[in-house]
Amino acid sequence: MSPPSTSPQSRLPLRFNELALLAAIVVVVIITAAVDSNHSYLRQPYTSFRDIARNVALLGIFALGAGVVIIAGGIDLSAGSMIAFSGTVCASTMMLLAPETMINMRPVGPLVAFCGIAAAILSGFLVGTLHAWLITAVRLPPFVATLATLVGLRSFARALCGYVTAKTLGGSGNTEINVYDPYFSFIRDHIWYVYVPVFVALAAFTYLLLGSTVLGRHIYALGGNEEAARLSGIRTDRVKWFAYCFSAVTASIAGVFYVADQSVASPVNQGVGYELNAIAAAVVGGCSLQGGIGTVPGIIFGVVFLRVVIDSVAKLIKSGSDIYEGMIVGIVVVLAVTFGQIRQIRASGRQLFPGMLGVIAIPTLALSIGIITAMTTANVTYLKGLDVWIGLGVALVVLLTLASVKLTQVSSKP
Amino acid sequence: MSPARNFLRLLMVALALTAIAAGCSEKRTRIVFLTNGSDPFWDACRSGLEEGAKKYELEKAGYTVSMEVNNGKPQGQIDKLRQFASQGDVAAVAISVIQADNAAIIEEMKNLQAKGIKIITVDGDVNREKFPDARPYYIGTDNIVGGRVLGTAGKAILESRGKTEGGYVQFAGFTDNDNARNRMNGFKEAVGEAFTEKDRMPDGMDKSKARDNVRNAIANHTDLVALVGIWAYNAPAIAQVVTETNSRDKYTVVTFDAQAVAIEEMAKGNIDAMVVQNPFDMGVQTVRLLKAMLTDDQATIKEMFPSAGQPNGDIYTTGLRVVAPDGETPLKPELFDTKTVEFMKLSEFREWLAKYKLTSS
Repeated sequence: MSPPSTSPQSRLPLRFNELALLAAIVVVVIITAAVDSNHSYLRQPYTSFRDIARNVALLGIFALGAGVVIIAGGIDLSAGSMIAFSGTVCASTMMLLAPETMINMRPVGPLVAFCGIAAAILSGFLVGTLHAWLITAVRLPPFVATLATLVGLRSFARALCGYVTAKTLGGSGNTEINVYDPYFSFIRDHIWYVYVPVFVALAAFTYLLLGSTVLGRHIYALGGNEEAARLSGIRTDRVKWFAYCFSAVTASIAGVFYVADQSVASPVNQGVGYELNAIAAAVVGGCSLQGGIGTVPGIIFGVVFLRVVIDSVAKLIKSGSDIYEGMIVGIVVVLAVTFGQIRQIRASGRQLFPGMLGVIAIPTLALSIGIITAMTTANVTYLKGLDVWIGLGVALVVLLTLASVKLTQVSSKP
Repeated sequence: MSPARNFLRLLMVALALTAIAAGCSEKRTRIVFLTNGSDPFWDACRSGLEEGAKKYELEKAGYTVSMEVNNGKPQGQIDKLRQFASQGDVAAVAISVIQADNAAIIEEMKNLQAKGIKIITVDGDVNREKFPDARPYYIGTDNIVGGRVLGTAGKAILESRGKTEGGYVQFAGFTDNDNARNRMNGFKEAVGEAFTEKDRMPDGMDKSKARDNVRNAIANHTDLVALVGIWAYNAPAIAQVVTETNSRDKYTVVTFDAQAVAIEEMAKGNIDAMVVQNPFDMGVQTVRLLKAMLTDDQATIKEMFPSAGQPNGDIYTTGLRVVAPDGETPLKPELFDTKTVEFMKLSEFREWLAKYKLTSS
């Protein structure tokens, strides 16, 4: 468990892995600013900062929810579908309340917009409650319960969209609902007034909740050892109810924002796979999937790190960056989590490359990193023509470094 | 009686009922239209299918038509095609192929044909050179022509603004999709070599990614003069990003299709030209052709494909419109081939949409 006051590290404002992540973010930003041939971060700092802030806020909102569930020892796989579902609930509610206005793409007014947003957030509470019921009363594993809603909610949202549009427009219904209201356009166009403040407020709320309230300590206790928490008198079912509702409500807030961002509620493909981004951000930020460990600053740095890396890939590889994005993000996620655990590995005396497994892993890693380096540098304007040599060089450096780590570990073995 | 026996009995009854149900639904009566993903474009096509069903008296012939919306992924189409093959009531399938070269999709299309199910492509075709026997007919836009029309419009607007060179980026869901590839190639050909294609950016039909792609294109390529939206949702994505970055005056924005949001953005002056397909007519013609194929109505097939057997004789082209903003524009009807392209101002186009109760096209 990691309630802040019980650890000596808490005297520092940030923990080791949070400081490491912060340093990694700074390094990625500096490298991007220097290597990017357009130097976008230096020439257009505001635009670059705003673009990253938008994506950090959108992902961060539901990553906080995913983080709380993980700290409580659970998992919520349904965030992406919850985003699609809540967005559809929001647009459908507005469609039912003001069909003519919505069809003609005119402003729906504050009351209808409020009702749409309130219905979306209420849908989050209800789905969170459903998760908690399935997990605590039916005793389904959290993975299974939220996997079911991952699949089911998107389908439900599609059916709802078709049903509501068929009712209001006639015919057999539509697959999307356009939302062209000035309130939603305002949300999209003024990220400093809505996306970012909502994210900051949610982060502050979660920080205070986890660090300074009884409920927060119960969340850590539940994640650390559920049986012990129950025996010590904590009503674990209530704590789980809160955690899953918090996760679903944050996803539903994000759902409303995605509708604003895209001017449409599109249940088929809105938020597909986003739950994994949220879980990845929380894990990179130091949350343990075993539960009981994790902090809000860690989750925030995890989100910022992921978004900065994605932005960096797009800035450095100017054409076809999407090909490399997943690969590079995957590598940095593994590196970030491994780096965060280096002290534990050292303390436990465990070898990083044990036996034959380690012997084969070292050249595999060196070869993979070399090939990836060669492929990506081929697209960096300044380095064109040198790709193979740079790849070979990097592979050799990685091979020698990892081999020396292996030799050091073998020689220091008692 | 033991619970195991009870369970076995129930299972046998269920199997027997399933077999009876399967026997009852032997008659193939259903025409299915499988989209490539979710977009209002398909809502207009669905209206066309309903109109076609009425116009060509589909019910009287013993058939129904419905639309299945794919999830924007090739695996989604493969799974749906496999389902159609195993469902005894599917008589014919129209598909907008998501990836022109996807062998697994082509294989499933051939499997359907082998089972006697009629199959045609609409809007998104297969790679005809590689897979000539995957389908007998294609209905939709001639996307190369569509791309050329967009390129002609883009070039005219750029030249009217004194731009004779510079870069452009094209945005689409998938850059290896047949219609996207042809449109982009057509645009590149018509806009000319004086303008350089800097990138073709796919977004995987993720609308947030579509916006991020525009932001990255603007940041990465300092000499851009034009932003080209190839799929319907790319138009609002480009329009809203150029507004957000206060860079509308730097770029010529030309796009395909006319989503409701894109129409509003053109009215606000954020889009210079839209080349608009006719998904409504695609729906109508799909019903017409598939009914003719199912009832062996050779006269109708001959009427739709008079040059069948000759190169490109298996293509039925639905019309294109060039929509320009109301007020001053360098675009004129004489820039385009009036046989294939209808020129419209935005207000005229809105009247046409209202006539058919459509919000997008």
